[in-house]
Amino acid sequence: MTSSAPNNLKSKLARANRRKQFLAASLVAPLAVFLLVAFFFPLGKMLFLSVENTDVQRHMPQTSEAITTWDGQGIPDETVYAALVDDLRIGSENRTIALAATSLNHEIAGFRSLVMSAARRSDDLTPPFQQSLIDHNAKWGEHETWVGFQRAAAPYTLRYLLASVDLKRDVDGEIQKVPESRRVYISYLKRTLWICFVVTALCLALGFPMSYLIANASPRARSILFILVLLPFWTSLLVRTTAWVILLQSTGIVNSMLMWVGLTDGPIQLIFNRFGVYVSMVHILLPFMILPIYSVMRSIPKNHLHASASLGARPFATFRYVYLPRALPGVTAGCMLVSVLALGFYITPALVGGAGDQMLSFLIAEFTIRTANWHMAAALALLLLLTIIVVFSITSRLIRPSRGNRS
Amino acid sequence: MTKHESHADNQAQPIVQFVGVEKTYDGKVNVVEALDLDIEQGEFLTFLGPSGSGKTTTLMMLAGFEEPTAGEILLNGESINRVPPFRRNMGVVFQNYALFPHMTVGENVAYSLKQRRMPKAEIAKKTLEALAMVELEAAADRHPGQLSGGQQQRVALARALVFEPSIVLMDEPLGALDKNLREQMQIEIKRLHDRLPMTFVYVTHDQTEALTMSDRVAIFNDGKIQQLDTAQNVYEAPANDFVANFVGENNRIAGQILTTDGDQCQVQIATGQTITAINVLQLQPGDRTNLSIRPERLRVSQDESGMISMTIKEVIYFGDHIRVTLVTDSTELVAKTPISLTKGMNVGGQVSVTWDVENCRALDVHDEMVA
Repeated sequence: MTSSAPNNLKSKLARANRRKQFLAASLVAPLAVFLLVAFFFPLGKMLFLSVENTDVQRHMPQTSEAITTWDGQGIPDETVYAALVDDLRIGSENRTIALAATSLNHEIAGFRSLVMSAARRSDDLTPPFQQSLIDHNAKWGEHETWVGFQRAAAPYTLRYLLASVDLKRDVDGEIQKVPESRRVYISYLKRTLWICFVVTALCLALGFPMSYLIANASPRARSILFILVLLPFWTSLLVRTTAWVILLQSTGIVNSMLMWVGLTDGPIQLIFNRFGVYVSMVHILLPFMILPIYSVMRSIPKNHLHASASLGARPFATFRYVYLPRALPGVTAGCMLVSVLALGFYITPALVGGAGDQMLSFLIAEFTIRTANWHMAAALALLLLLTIIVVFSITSRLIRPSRGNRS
Repeated sequence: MTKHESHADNQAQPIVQFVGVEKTYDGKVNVVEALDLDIEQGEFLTFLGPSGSGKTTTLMMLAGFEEPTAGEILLNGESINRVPPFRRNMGVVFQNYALFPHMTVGENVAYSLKQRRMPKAEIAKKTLEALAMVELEAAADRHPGQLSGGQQQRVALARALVFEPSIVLMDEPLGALDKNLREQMQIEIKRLHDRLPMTFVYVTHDQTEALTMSDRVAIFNDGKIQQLDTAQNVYEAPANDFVANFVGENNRIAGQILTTDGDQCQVQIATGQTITAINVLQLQPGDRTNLSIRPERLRVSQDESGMISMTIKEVIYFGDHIRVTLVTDSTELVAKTPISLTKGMNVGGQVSVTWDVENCRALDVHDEMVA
C-alpha cells in the first residue's frame, strides 16, 4: 500500500466537508446579510456618532486646517487668525456659522456668542487679524480659547461620552466632574439601574411561585394558567400600559374600590409616579420571568425530590439543596431577560411615570427628537448598551447554572 | 397476629405489615386491591409483576411517596400512614438512579448524613466506606454525569445504604442496564444483602432477576398478590395459571376436570386423552382448567412408550440443552431435553412425551395470555 491512500481519503473528507459547510453557509447567508445591513451597520453608524465631531471641520474648514499646526503654546500666529476671519466671512454669508458655533459651545461655554459676534463684525476686521480680533474681544487672545478650538476642530472627540457620565475635560485636558448643578446623566443611570433591579426582583418574587404552580398543576389547570400568563403577553405593550392608566388613575377602579371599602377618604396617587411604573413594568415583564423558570422546573424529575425525602431531607432542605439548584438556570435566564428588557424601557415610564421616574432611554429619545443632538443621544445609547452588557454578565456570573446536568 | 402469639410462635414480628391496603388514583379503578402482606425482618422480598400490576405503587406507599386510599401500613407494629417519607428511614434506589446531577458522587452519598447533622469527620468516613463497598472510592469527586450506567447504579446503592436504614427499597434499579451488567449487579446486590442486616424490598418485572436474588417473591397482577412464596415454590409450584405463565416458560394444556380424588384429579384434554394432575385449586368436576407443565419436566422418548404421541416441529440447539417444539393437531408443547437424549430427533419425526404426575398441575384459566 502506498501512503497516497490515506491522503486521498483525507482530501475526500475535506471535499465532502467543504460542500456541507458551503451549503450551511448559503442557508444562513440571507440572515447574515440582513443583520449586517439592517442591524449592525446602522447600529455601528449611530454609535459612531458619539465620538464623531465634524461640525467645526465642515463649517470652519480653513481654521480647522490651520490650527492643526499650532503647537499649543501661548496663542496661534497670524495665519490661524486670518483663516478664522475667512471662515467667519464665508460662514456668515452662508448662514452656516451658527452650526459651527453651537458645536464649539459644547466645548467651551460662551463660545457661541463669541463666534457669532465676531462673525457679525467680520467684514469690519482688518489685518493683522490677530490684533483686530483681540481688540474686538479679549477672549481671542486667551490661551484657553484656542485650546478649546483645537479640541473642537479635531475629527473625533470624547466630549459626548464624557458628558454622558457627567464628566468633562478642563482647559488643561484633565478629566473632571461637571459642576454639581449640571450633573444629570449619572442620576438617570442610577435610577434606571434601580428600577431595573426592583422590577427584576418583583418579577422573580411573583414569577417563581407562579412557575412552580404551573409546572406542578394538572394538565387542565396548566393550560388555563398558561393562557392567563400568555394573554397579556400577546397584547400590545401600549394597550397594557394604558390599561394601567385607566385602572390606577384617581377616578379609576382601584381608587374607587379603596374609597368604597373605606380604606381611604380621597383618591391615592397610584399612577404617574414610581408605583405606577413598577406595577405596569412588572405586569409587562412577568411572562419573561415565568416562561424560562417554568420550562426548567418541568424538567426537574419528581424522583429527585422523592430521593431527597427518602434520604431524610425535610421539605425545605429538599427545596434548598435539590430543587433550587436545578431551577437556577431558569431563574438566571428569567432574570437576564427581565433585567435587560427593563433597562431599555421607554414607553411605559413615559406614559405612567412622573418626571422623576424616567429612564435613560427617555433621555435618548429627548436628544434625538427634541434637541436633535444625535451625538449626545448616541453617547447615551452607548452608555445604555454598555450597562446592559455589564448587567448581563453580572447576572449570568452571579447565578452560575449548576454544572453536570447530563444524567 | 398479636405480639403475644408471635412470641409463642418463637417468630420475630414482621418488620412491615400491609393491612387491607388499597390505592386508587381516579376513584374508579383500584391500582392496589385489599393488600395484606407481611415483610419479614432481614429478608429479600421481590415484587414481581407486569407493568401496571401495582407493584411499584405498593413500594411507593411503603416509601411514603403515595398515600394508601384505605388500610394501614405498619412498621415494627406501628402505623406509618401519617409518617412523612423523610422520617421513615428507608433507603430507596430509584429507576434511573435519581442521583443529584449538581452534586459530586461524594456529596450525593453524604447527603443523607448531612441531613442527619452528623459530625463532619464521621460523614467523610462513612461516605468513603459506603463508596468502598461499591468499589467507587476513586469517583468521589466526579459528577454522576461522568459515570457509566453501572457506576451510577452503584452510587445510588451506596447512597441508599450509607445511613444504615432498616429497610432498602429498590424500584427496578437494574432496568436501564444491559444484560451482562445487570447480571453482575444482581450478584453484587445479593452479596450486599447477605452482608448487611437490612431488609430488601425489590421491584422488578424481570422474572430471572426475581428468582435468582430473592428469598421470597410476591407475584403481582391486577393490583393483587397472586402468590407469595419462595423463589423455588413460585417456579415449581405455581398457585395459578397467571403465575405459571408469568414466571418461567410453561406448557399450557387446556382441559376439563372429569373426576377428583383427594389432591389429584383426572383431566380430559383436547386430544381426547385423560391426564392425571395435581388439583391445586380444589377444582370440581366440569370446571375448565389449564394444565401446567414446565418444559424441563417433559421427557421425550423416540418410541410410543409416552403418554401423548407428537410430531417434532422445531429443534433448537442451546449448547447446554436442546429445545424441542412438539405438536399434535390441538396442542403445542415445548420440551427442554439434555443433549445426550436427543440423538436422532429430527423435524417431522414422531415421538411421545411423558411426565411425573406431581409436575403436572391443574390450574385455573387465566384469560389474558402473558408472554
